[in-house]
Amino acid sequence: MNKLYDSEKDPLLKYLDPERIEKAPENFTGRIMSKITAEIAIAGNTDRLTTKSRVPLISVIVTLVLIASAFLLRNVESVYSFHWELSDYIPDISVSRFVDKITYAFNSGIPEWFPWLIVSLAFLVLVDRALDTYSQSRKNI
Amino acid sequence: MEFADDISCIGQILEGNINAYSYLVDKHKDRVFNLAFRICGNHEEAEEIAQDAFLKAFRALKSFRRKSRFNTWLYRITYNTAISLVRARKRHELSIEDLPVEFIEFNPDNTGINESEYEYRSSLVKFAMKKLTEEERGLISLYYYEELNTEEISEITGISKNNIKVKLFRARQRLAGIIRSIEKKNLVCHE
Repeated sequence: MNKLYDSEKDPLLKYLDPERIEKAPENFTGRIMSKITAEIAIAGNTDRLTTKSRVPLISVIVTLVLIASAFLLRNVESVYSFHWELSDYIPDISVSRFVDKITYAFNSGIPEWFPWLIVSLAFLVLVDRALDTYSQSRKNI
Repeated sequence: MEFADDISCIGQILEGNINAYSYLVDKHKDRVFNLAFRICGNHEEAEEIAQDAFLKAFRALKSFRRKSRFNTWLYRITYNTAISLVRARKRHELSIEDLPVEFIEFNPDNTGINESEYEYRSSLVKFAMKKLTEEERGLISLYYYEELNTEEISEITGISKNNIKVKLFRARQRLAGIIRSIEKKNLVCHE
């Protein structure tokens, strides 16, 4: 024994015997392991549900942002007013050149929505990759 | 399933072998259950506390710093869980008059040190421990049953080493006093 008190003179040692402890009930380990297994299964299902619901949610947000942007950029006048407002804050960025290129692309044979479709698809692929990596790392824990 | 030590077992669990945790539970369940029982004083709650402690330990296994021993870390979780539960379910104070009749019917002078005397002492301690505060019960249990030193008890309870010495001294005195008064009553009854 460690100790702070002389074991010969400690009257409590007669009553507190470390060899005679209260034992855990039968099948204690089994019950703990069942709870852990159930907990892991529930956590897995919640993860899958969260991951699944994230993709459509992000898709909806991205689509709404893109529609709003397309609507804003459709009118050249509003494009330039947008450009001037932005230039007030970030004067070094030449937004007009970018806008001109987009306007040129819109005026050529390519459908108006096509560049947005490409951007949306690229973005969704990236999001999907990121969520997949996250989901895999959670499974390995 | 056998492991060289707790740390190698924890490594296995963190690598995804969840079943390896049953080795840790099996190895420490009795000590954890005993600590919980000594603090709360009844088997049902002790089982609840011990289960809760093992589940908490499993969830927090990633945060276990391998500098300390696994059992010390597990005892800390058990101690805190038990103290919280007992404080949340505070019971009425026991008086010596509440002592069950079977304690008084035993006369230790009539028999040698045998199983019935162990039973008597065990029941006596269980009753006397209930008269202490939950913190005192925890300290007594860690010191006597788990045979830990003040440094380890300090690590588990978060109380400073010097404070542990003071609190332990008082708890021992109180426990010895309660046991003495019960035994005195016992002797009076048998005279």
